[in-house]
Amino acid sequence: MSHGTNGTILRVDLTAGSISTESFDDGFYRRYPGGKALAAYHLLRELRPGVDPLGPENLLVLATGLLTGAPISTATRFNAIARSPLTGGFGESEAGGYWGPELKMAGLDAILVTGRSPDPVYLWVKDGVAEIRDARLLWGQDPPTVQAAIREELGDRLVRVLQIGRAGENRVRYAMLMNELRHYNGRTGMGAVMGSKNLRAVAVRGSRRYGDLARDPGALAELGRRLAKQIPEHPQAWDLRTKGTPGLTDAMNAGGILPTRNFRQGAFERVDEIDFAAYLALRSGTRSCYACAVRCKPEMAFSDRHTVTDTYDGPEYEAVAGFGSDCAIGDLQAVARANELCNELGLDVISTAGTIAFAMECFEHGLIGPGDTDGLELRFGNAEAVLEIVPRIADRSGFGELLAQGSRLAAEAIGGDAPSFAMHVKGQELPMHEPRGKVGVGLGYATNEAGADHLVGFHDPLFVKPDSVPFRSVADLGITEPTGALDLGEKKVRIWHTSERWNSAEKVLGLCFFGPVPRSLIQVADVVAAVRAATGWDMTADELLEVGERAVNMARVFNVREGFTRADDRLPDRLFSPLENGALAGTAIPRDDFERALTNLYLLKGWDPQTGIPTEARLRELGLEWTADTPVAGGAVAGG
Amino acid sequence: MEVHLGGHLAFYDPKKRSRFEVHLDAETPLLEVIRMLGVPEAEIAVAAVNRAVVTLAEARVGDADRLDLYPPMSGGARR
Repeated sequence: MSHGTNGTILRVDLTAGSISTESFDDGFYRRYPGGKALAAYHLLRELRPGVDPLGPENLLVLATGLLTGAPISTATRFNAIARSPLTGGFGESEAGGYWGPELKMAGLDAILVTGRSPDPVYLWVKDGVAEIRDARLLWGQDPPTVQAAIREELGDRLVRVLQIGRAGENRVRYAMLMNELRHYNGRTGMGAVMGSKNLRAVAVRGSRRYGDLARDPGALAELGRRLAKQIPEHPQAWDLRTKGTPGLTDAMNAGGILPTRNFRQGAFERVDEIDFAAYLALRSGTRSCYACAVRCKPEMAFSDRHTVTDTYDGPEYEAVAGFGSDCAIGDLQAVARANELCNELGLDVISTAGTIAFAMECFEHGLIGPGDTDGLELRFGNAEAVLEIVPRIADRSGFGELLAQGSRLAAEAIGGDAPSFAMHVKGQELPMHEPRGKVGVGLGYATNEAGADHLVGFHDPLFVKPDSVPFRSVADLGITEPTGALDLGEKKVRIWHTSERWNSAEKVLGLCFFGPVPRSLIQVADVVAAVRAATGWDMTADELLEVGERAVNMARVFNVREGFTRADDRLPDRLFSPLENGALAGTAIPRDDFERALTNLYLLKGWDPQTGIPTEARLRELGLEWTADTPVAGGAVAGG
Repeated sequence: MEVHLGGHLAFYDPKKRSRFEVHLDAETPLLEVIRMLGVPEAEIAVAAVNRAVVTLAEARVGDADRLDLYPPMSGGARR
């Protein structure tokens, strides 16, 4: 018998209306323990290359991590994974909250959804028993209404509801999923995939406890108690609890790395109107995810020039910078309303803001005009235009239809210089972290199989000072040499390689980026101890890194099957040009250094430096020999 | 002097204050002020005097200045 997991997944075919379960043994789970690894395994096994991401054949996997639901802080996450309609490649997005733990307590490690229902439906899972239910009356309703209606219909107010919004129903390429209205699988358009299946929601309820699954529930509970006591005393946890991610805005601006005017600039002249002091004046409270002592989620409610309620998550840093500095809007109330609209409509905040910033630059360069934008003066700083265009994106109406495709496809349609204004990697818009001041993060943007993502590895500024708390915490991962934030040499590439594998392992385990090292609320030894208590496995940190690396390689193989090569591991040209202002004015990423770093990273990963394709040797080392004969154009997937 | 401790640096102030004032009798090396504030130097990534980024080891500050100190900036939430 396996421990730490249920050993069971649920399969749902919405075309056939069929439901079944499948079980796996302990050996399987040790290689693919959960989350990204478990989902990638099924995607590679069951999805043939080239399927329409929004067609019934696409497979949507909702997978808990190995530790999701364990009674330790930050063990809350689950993954949504499918072929992405935004990138055409491996799509993935995680969320915390309560839904993932509840699924684990309901006796399932993952739900695999394929097909398309003829009519809108929702899925109801209770203690391992699932049922497809009519959602025709829920289609088109706002998320709070849907959540309340499902709970009323099922007669249980504690049912946890994962759902899409209008954007997902309308298959906007960057539509998101939300659970409990406040926690979001924002990236790569997983909401559009769910909407394409006519699946509005997945409601779950479970009566198990994680302790029932654990090999040593006493040790796990003791670890959870110790962490719950330690975490509030940690400086980083204090920061997350008292300020949360919006506390980053001031620092980013001072450091010259606050994306401003579509990444042209690194400092915003109206930062005082969106910084943390401004934020605090509007914040109404903070909330937590399941069993987490960090409590970092902000909540905002006000009625003034704009009205915002506390129904959804308050704007995180990504929204503050995305709709604020990057769209040049020095008005936090408008930013908060734009954030609320995205949540209400089910849009990814990062891609929505990034696509609008792109359109603003096109407008200012005369590539589009009021005749294209339904009369909107879509210039930098025009908050009212942003608030007008967001619902049109969700509804794919008017100019919103073009922006609903994302900046890459919109740029191709607009033509001229527009592609040079589209700040994306593989079609996914850049998060609000400036690679010209965090070059390792840029390497991660470029190479990540799901496109630009800021949670793929550790951020460069954490590794500059050897005596800092973050740096000292990663010695247990073998990172012992500090290096500058702008360095792209061998040391940085080694750090990135390790950090990418570690962060991938977090996605497999279901741990939040804010818990383990280098945030260091949770030490490497604590993670190892948690896995041991949950499973009985004597899994070392090295094996955890390998688990993470295996998941990355599966995602890479998936992309290779879809035709991706080294040429897709690129950054927008703008990042190789100087920042226009701020503390790093004049700084650009040296292109030759970047290409050399990319080659060195491939070599560390065991990938062909010319193509970026995993070698057969590396796949065999990782136990992925079953992927090595995956047919791709020109031969098998691995170069040998 | 107006002091702003960004991010988790305010944790090191005995009263956990992010913004407060201190009095300096004369122009003082920034490192000395940082030691006086009790903020570990290793945790400071960016220091700005009157909003201009400075080098910790070289800067000096006076009573009329504004000092902003920030820790290394990592990722935000939301995926």
